Amino acid sequence: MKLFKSLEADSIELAYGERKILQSIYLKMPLGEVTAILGRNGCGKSSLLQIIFGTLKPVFKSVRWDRRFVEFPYREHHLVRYLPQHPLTPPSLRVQEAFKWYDSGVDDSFGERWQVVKSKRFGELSGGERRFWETLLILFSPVQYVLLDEPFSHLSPMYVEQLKWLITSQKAQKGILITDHLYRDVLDIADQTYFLQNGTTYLLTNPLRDLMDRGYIPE
Amino acid sequence: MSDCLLACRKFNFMLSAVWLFYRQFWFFTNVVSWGGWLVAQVPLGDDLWLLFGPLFWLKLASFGVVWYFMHIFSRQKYLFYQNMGHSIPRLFVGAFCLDMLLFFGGLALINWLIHV
Repeated sequence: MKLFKSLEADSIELAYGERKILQSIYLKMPLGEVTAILGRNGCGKSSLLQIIFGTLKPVFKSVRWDRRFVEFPYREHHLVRYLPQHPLTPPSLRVQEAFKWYDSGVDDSFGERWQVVKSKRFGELSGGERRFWETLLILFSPVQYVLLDEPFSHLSPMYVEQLKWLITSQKAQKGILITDHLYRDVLDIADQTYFLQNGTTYLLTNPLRDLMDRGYIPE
Repeated sequence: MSDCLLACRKFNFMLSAVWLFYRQFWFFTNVVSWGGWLVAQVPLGDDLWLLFGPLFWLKLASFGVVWYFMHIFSRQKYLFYQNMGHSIPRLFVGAFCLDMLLFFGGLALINWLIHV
């Protein structure tokens, strides 16, 4: 399997009618790092992730893996997986079946929790539990890159902390792109952070200060 | 040999994913097809051959309805399969073939049982 050391996305243009959502994007996501995208609601974060994944067709895009253009990355074997904002799995599917489908492995550290949850159907889990296990399903997949769209939503603080630890532990083997509104938690684990505003990405050099200056968080 | 084994495993994996996808709407497409057969007064033997064309188009139309409603109301359901590398056309073509096989296979079985 060829290892791609980085993903670059630029020249992306997405519009719905007259309204331009994305127009001047540059994003570099190296393998072995956590890259974060922050931005207000409706600014196009999820659309950007879907364009990178290859399931949303923009007016124009250039998404390159080690300078190689791939039109449908999701169809490439063991390249990328995407956790959407909404529930991912069919509610009738059992947790362990989903992990088998995705060839995702949970290690022994989940011991008792895994034993309890594995035979349950996703539809039987609470919103937070479902989110947690779906995130692990993607995070532990045997792929080089994962795109996580709001993985912390619906999670209790304990779950958030554990997930942060797990994301950090997985980044040695993967490139991880994350977007979420819990910006402090995102900044804790991010190696680099982009801010998406008016359809354009800005690489933040001093994230907290820059986020204040751009009006994303209060002074 | 190993290439052949790998291809078989990939095919099996794809077939299983298509089956999982098909399970979401098998009830609707089967109600439409078997309903069409019942409405046509349960033809068998040579009469069944005459109905083959209309039943095929009925199946295709029922898949059109499924595709339309999934596209409008639950596009996000595709992502589970897309994460496994399957495209939407591949899923629908696979599910359609499976549906045809099950329905016409079922009809052929009924036909055979009655005429034996």
